[in-house]
Amino acid sequence: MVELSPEEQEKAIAEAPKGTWAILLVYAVLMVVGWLYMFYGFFLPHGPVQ
Amino acid sequence: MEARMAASESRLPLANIWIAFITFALAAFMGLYQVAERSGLFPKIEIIELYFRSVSSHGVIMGYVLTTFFIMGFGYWVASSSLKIPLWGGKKLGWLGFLISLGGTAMAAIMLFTGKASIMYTFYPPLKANPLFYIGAAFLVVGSWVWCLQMVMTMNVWKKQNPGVPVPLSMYGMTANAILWFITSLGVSSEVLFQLIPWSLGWIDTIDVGLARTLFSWTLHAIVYFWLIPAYIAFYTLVPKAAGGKLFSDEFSRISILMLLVFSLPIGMHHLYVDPFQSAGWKFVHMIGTFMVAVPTLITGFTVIASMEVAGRLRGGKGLFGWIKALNWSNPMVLAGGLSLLMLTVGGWGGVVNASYSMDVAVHNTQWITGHFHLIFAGTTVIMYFAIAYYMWPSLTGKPLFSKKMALAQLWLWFIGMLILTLPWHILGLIGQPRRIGVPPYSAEFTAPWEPYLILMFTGGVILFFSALLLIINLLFSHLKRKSSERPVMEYAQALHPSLKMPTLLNGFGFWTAVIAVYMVASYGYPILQFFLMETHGTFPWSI
Repeated sequence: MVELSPEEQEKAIAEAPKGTWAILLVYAVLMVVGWLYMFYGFFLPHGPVQ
Repeated sequence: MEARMAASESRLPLANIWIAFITFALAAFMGLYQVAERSGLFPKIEIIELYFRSVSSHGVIMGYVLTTFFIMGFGYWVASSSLKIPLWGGKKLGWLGFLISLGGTAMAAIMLFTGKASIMYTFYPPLKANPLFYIGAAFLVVGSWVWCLQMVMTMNVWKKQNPGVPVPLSMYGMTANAILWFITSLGVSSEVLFQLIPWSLGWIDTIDVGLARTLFSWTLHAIVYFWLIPAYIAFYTLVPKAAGGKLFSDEFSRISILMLLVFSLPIGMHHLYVDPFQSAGWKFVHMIGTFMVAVPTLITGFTVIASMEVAGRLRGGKGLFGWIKALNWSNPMVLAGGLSLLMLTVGGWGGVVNASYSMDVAVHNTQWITGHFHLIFAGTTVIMYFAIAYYMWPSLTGKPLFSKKMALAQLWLWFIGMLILTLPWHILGLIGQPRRIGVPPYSAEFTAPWEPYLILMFTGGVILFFSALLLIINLLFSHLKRKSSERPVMEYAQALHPSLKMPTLLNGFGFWTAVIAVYMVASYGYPILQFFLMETHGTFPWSI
């Protein structure tokens, strides 16, 4: 753990949560791709219930 | 907000939480037996009657007993530590509720353990249990209503004493959960009281299965949020504190809690997608509602991860993801928060597949579903219960935690075990294994592709059982320590930008309860009413 100066602390708090946005963007893309994979890659090729 | 808990205040939450974890240990052992039985590795223990007795007990204990008692205990702890006023109705009323719930649990447990209630945990007729099981379950719920009343009223008393001041977020979330539980438990309570008990007692000969399943669906999905909201409360108020940071937004957190409260209630018919007694239109309405729940889930994800990012940056983390490495992962609450979110990510994806009306057919009643709900409930939710217990334990018992290292190992094992258990279950579902089976009576050719996944499932189950043991050992040894220490100050995370005044709509529940009432009538009114209006072909409506 690095000790931050009061100025650095203020900067850290004021900074936009870029990492969070990046994680959520990756998650959203994975969710959409995962859903499309299930729909087009599994569900439709599976055909009617036998 | 800081306070120390007095010994006299800790007994009620402690009793609730011990009941939760003692029964959890029993259910964990049953889980171990079930994966061993299903693995096919131990033919001598493949006893179908015993298997379903175990599955029913495991499900009822994990789904209703562990959760209800843990949440009640956590609620009393939150009310005491955040509001710092006496509990409305007094501790005696809380003990009365506890004893009613405990008596009901004992009654239901005897029926389960003696094989007189091997009906799973879904209250779906025509599976029929001994009436004492249903009566016991009803007492468990009635006892918890006492807790609901105490949460709501204690918050109201505090608000009267502190006009215009925002209710502490932890208590705001807990009160939302009490309201949610009271409303959602009305569905199964009606089913038990007006259908299952008279039917099991022989007062009526037949039962309207469609009505029963519709009433149970009223409870069946929102109950998941009753289980999950305490985990969210920990995400918002305990994880940022333990991480050394602040809550990113108090208002966002309240909006998310309110959206969960409103959206999670009238969506249960997605459990009935393949049942014939509700029309496609109503199921579609409930599907839209189900997808709406993704919104507060994403808001929670953003708020919690952003809070952790702030904490990581305050610890010197740099760059887009450098703050993740800088976080204090040796703190059980932070570790559990991170692992829980990871499991929510995978479980959430599975949930979106289940919730899709057409695609659900591909996974409905397969082992995929078991994998999904274990990942969301036993993974995402219960791992936070463990972390909350570790966090509360020194303040409840007045003794330090026996071993932090053991707690960290236990959380990692739970995470690893849960993934090894549930990911193969998802695959098994996709290759055709039904859920709710013991020893499958199918051809060897059909079941051969299942085998490697069944071995993985067994491995995951063993790891989970070992993790459960570590939890109990840690809590028990902490409690039995001779040396007491000063009870630690109980702290909650402060918001990055604390609000001195909160909009009325984000500081109370009156308006939202009215919204829920309208939404519930709109989405469940006719689907229930139809059973009293439709042609019953010679039998009396509702089988009376």
